[in-house]
Amino acid sequence: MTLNKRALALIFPIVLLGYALAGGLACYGYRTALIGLQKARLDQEVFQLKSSYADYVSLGSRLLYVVRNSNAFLLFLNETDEAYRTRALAVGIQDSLQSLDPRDDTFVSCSIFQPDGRLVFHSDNGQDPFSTAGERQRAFARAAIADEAPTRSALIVEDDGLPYLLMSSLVQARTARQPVLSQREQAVLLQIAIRPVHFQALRSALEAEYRTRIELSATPLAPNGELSAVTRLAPDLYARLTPPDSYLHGRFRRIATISVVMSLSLSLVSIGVLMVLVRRFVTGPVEELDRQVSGIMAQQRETIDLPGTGEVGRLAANVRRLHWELDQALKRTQRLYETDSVTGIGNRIYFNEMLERFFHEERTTGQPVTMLFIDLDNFKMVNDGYGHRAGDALLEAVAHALVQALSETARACDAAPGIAARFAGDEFAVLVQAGPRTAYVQDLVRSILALFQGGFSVDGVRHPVTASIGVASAPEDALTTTLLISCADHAMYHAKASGRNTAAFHGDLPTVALTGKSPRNR
Amino acid sequence: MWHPVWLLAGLLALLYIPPARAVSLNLLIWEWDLDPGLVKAWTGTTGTELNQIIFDNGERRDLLIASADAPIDMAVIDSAHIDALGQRGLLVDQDRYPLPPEARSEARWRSMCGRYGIPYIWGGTGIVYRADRVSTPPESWADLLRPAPALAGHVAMTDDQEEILAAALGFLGRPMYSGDPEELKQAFAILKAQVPAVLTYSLPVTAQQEKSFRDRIFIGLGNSGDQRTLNMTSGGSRSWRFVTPRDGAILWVDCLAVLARSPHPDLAERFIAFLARPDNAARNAIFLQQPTTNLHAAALLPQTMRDDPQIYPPAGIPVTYRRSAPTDSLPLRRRILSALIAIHDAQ
Repeated sequence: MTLNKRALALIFPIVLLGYALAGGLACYGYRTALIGLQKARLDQEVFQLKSSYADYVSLGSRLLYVVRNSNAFLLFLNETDEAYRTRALAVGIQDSLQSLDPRDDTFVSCSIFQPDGRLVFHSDNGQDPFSTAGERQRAFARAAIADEAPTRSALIVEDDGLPYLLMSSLVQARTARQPVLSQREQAVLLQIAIRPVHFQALRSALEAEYRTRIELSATPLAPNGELSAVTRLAPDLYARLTPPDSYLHGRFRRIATISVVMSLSLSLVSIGVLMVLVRRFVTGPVEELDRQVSGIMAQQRETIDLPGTGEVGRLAANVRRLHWELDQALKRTQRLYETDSVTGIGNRIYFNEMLERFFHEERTTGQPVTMLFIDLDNFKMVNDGYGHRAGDALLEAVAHALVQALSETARACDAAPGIAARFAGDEFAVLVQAGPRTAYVQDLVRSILALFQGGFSVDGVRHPVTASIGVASAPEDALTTTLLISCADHAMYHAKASGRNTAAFHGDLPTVALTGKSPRNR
Repeated sequence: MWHPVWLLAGLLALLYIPPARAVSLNLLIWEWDLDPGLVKAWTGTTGTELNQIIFDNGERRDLLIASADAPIDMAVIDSAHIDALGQRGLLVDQDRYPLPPEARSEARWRSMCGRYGIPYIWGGTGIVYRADRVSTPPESWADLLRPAPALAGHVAMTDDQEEILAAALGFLGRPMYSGDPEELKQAFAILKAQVPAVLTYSLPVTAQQEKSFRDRIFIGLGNSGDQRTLNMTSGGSRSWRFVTPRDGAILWVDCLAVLARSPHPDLAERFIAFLARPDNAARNAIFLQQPTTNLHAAALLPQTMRDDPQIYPPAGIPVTYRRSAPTDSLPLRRRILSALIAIHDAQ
């Protein structure tokens, strides 16, 4: 599992849990606020309903008052001749009624019932002259007469489905005043009916909005649940509006959904931001370090960049130091592995490695490779005559002279210096990236031969040592490293055979079939 | 014990008679329904003032008569209403005040006015219209009840259920006093269809005087004589005409009655007798441009007036005399009118 995955596995549940908790708390708070708000709204709407109802009650009271106190009504009550009453007097009650006609399409009617419950007058401001007081209005009146109720009001629904606010008042037959108890039996009932259009519209709108019926009751009602409003429309009429649970749930569900979506979205955004920050400041440097170390392991880079201070910076510095030390140790080991311990120059391993590299470059760039195979003549005499220590000193001096000659010649010829190595025993080899006929190689051969002019001096002792040099090159003489060494060896052998202290170019030798075996049996 | 001074003061107080106030008569009458010259002559002769209390609706007039508080001595009551009021004891029995033979009206009008009224003036219910605004003179109720598009919004109908229904029933060919609910239903349908064209439900004579309706009424439901009032009050154009619809002439007679509660019944009867004199009746008819109920007076009218079809309904048109509608139909008739007004107000 990568560091990023670990970080994600750690951050994701914590952030999600945090937001879920916050969302839950927000939902709870919102629910409380929502209920409070809805309750206030409900109270206000129910108050409007009450206010509208009160308007109609007020209109009804005024109509009752005006009709009751009109001269026409008094005349009507005192008249026993029904025909005359209808012919001459009834129109006066109609006029009283019309004087308070709200003229806003509010339907009002006025009815007068005899003590026996008979309807003797009915007038309204409606547009249908053929309508009359409905059966429920008549029943209401009969009940009021039977109960001897001085005043009574109710909201009824007539058989035609229309609601009416009924207000009735018992009046003394002669005076139109409120009858005394003993005379209520002879009292006439004056009844006003109003179609409370606005009230009904409000009621219907509320019922449609809350998808429930508004309960009406003659007895007091108590709120039904946390979201329920009760009002007293009239002294004996109570209304209760209790929206169904689904009303609040619907609203709450929407908010809950929004909360969940918001929590999730915020969680994802937060996790995204956190992951970017963690990647940038925590896992990124570690990954970079890992990448650099991997690069070093894959030998694609050599060193590690320090990302700064802090734990990762220190880790990087330590890794870099460790790498540097390892690198040094490796280089040292490699140097020891490739260095000839007697002469201090490259050994045969080093030579082979360089030969391979030069061949590789020859193949890619076309730069020829020339090998000088140098064998010291009479070296055995030094060993035998002066001991191995002197022999080794001679070999070391020859090696240094070769290196110096090589670098000087290269500088003089403005060429790449190439390398010198001890091949074995008294054999040395020089490799340069130039053709055998170039001035550089020619000069190099000359300068090496010149080193042994009149022998070779070490520590003030001149030894009769000379050098035989075989020169071969690729691709002119050979196409493989083995063949090149053989060709150079063959040329050196030829030089040695030609009298020593000379050089032979393989290209100048008479053609011989090379079998891969040197004339010298190695 | 009574002190003699106090006793004397008491006797003096009893003997005190307040100075005589000028006697006046209150007459409940239609607007512009009496020649002012006659009023002047009456006051000049008798020294009694005549106060005219104006009404423009027969049912409201009846209510005033029925209201004991209303200070009314005499009233002009149409024959269809007078009996109910008389039988209720509100009117003086005219048999107690016989008129001289020459002052007596034609029998038909006398029988219509009955015991409680003296025929005053007669006329017909029909259509009033402005000749300068109505290109084709109306001829039948249809021209009023189904007015030409150009007349929409220029129609004035009365607020009297009897006259409105008289027009509609006349249009249907039914008697104006019908109490048949089915016929009233048909009449209502016709009147309802007319509502959009109606400017106002009040007498053209009354509506004409309202600023907002002035010059907006071109045609209306009226009575013979209304054209004269309209021409008098419309400021100069004098283009109002009255036409009796060819569907049938509805003839009515207004009667003069004295209220039983009048404190001056004898004086009131003197005034009635004064108006009934043929010369005064003729003078009044000329002023009113209406036919007189007295044949002696009719003989005094100029020939042009007697030939005027606006005053005397043209021959050949069927005649019905106005009668009261059945009592039990009155609530429905009144509600038909109030419904028409409600529909009109709502539009």
